[in-house]
Amino acid sequence: MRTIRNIIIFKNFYSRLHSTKQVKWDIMAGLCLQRKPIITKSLTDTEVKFQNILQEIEFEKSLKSNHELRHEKDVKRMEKLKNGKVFDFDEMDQASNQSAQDYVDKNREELLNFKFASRSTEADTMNDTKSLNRKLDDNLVLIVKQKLGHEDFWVLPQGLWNDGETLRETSERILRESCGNNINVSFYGNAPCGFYKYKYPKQIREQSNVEGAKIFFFKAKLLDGNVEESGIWTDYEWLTVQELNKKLILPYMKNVKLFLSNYNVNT
Amino acid sequence: MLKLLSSVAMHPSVLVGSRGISTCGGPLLFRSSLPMFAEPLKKKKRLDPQILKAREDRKRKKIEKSIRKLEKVSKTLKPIDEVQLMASLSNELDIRQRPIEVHSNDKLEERIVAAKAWSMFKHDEHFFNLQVISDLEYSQQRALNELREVSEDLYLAAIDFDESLFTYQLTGPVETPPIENYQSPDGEYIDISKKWD
Repeated sequence: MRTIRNIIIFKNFYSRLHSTKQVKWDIMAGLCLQRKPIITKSLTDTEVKFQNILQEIEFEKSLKSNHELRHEKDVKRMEKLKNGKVFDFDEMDQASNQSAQDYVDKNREELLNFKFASRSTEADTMNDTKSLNRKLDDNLVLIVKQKLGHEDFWVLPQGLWNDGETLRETSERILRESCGNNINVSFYGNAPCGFYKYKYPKQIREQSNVEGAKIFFFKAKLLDGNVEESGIWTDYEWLTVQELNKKLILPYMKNVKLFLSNYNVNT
Repeated sequence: MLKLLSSVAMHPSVLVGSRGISTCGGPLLFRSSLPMFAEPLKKKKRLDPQILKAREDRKRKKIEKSIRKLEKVSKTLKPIDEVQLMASLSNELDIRQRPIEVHSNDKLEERIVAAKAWSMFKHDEHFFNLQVISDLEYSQQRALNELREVSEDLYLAAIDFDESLFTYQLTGPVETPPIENYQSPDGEYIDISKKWD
């Protein structure tokens, strides 16, 4: 019930939000680039248990299939053969008569011979956070280590807005600047999905007369390609949302988390 | 025509088309008749108008019949194989029946407990989803509100349609990841879908 209250509070809250208008702010676009999950999440215990029960019930309610009838017929025939009651040569023609069990065995063998790709990859065991092959069942988000002021921070790739651009164009430019040209993404529309603002240190504020930065985040989905070396960051990583929690500073993460839908309740 | 015939030795009176009554004016007294370039006209057959009418009627009836047939076909709907029970199956109903299993109380209780756990699980999941949707809504609305205060133009550009998103396609997650450089074995493609005109 707490959740419902939260929802109502949030809805009332955003309509009352205001920002100070007198001072100058830098406008920035941030890029939330995600690699979407490639494989399904593994089922939880509850799901597995219930799935088994449903399958049991479905089996009990079902009628016998053609294959089962054939198998029963085979079993009966074998018994008769054992007792020596059948002398019908047509029925004893073994070559043309593949039994239902043989059919099942053959198919099972084919299935066993086929090697499925493993659900956990090499990058998982090495914990290679630069690889896109890690955590195939989860969302991976690109973060970069950028120098902001005098310190390095882990942030979503961001950049200043230039006059004459729309913010969507700014975020597309940031994508090229931070990831190179060999990357193919699709943006989720023209509207920003999130917002974060922070104040510059006092020294800079007095020097440049700019209060701070307002960052508008744009979501994009990675289609193919990977990040290339670039000048605007010193390091990059592809992380799950849980891992982001440890890398990003708290007030920033709190705002980013709002538009990353794939964090789980149970973890 | 005449030029063509000129290679044939003929009496000059033929070629000139002389108007002489006698055709045997030549030195050899060779008789020849004027050539005729047309066939005598056939006598037009007059049909009984009643027979004609009957013939037309028959034609019309034939067409009407085929139209009626087509209309009848258009009314019959395409059968849905998945919904219709095959006749052979309803005949074999008794041999296809499974023996009824009787479960112990423990087993039944286990099922009920699992079903309850499942409904709790789905309940939590549902509320989590509501929370996520509300977070996304809140986050986006806040960003748009802030953007509107920064610049109306940027706001209008942001709420514009992105038409490249339409006919959105999504290839969902799968059970196991794709095998790299996998050569799928050759097979034959047999289209067994029925044609309905």
